[in-house]
Amino acid sequence: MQSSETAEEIWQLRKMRSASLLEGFTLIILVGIAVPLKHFAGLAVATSIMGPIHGIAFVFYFWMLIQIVSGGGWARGEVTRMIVAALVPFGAFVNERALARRQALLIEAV
Amino acid sequence: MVYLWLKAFHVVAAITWIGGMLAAAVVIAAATRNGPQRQSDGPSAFITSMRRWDQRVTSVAMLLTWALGLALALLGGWFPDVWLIVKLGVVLLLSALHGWLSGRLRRLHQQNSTRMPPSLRCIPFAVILAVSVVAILVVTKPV
Repeated sequence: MQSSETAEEIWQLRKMRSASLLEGFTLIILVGIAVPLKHFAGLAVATSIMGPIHGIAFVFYFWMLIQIVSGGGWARGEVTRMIVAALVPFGAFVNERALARRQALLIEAV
Repeated sequence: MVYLWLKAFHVVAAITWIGGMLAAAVVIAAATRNGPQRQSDGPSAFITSMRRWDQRVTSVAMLLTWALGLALALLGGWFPDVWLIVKLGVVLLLSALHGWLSGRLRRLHQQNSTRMPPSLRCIPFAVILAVSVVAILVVTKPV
């Protein structure tokens, strides 16, 4: 792989890690704060604000995932794990670590 | 008044997004049809520009379309309506397709070639079909 391609790959992985963290944090805020506020304190506004914010973060994460995977070099198992982990709270942080390891391997290979 | 301003910018963002997607789809289909170039040739200036446009304009327009669209749905109180749920599904598919096109464009830029089944050359038409469904749903709001 040429160095410019590797640099591009690393940049894509950095963006993907950010998208993963954003998706993870917004899901935790939605499930851990906004939903209890709605059901136990009657503050429905909490979910009506956090719902769309998490929606955008979720779309961005999956859009990034499709983009990075269609660029090539990803095993089917890795992609499945990235999808499943994004659907559960804290799963995004597992994804972020996996992406960081992949990024570190790429940097080492340069 | 805020609703109308959001709606105007939502339409601008959507047109920019879909225009960029169509351009990327046509470029990828043309590159596939013309066959791979020699690796030593490097990416053409056209592919480089197309890719830059996709990253800096089309992708941003997609995110703006989503953000403004969700704001409009909340302000307008459209959320439980069936037409909106169906529209969201179609827009989700369009977003996925855009992600795939961006990835293919990156591959085309890096490798000067991309293998694509001939049947996928009809992607520009699929984009137009999806946009037609969205437009009809938004304008007529059937259910």
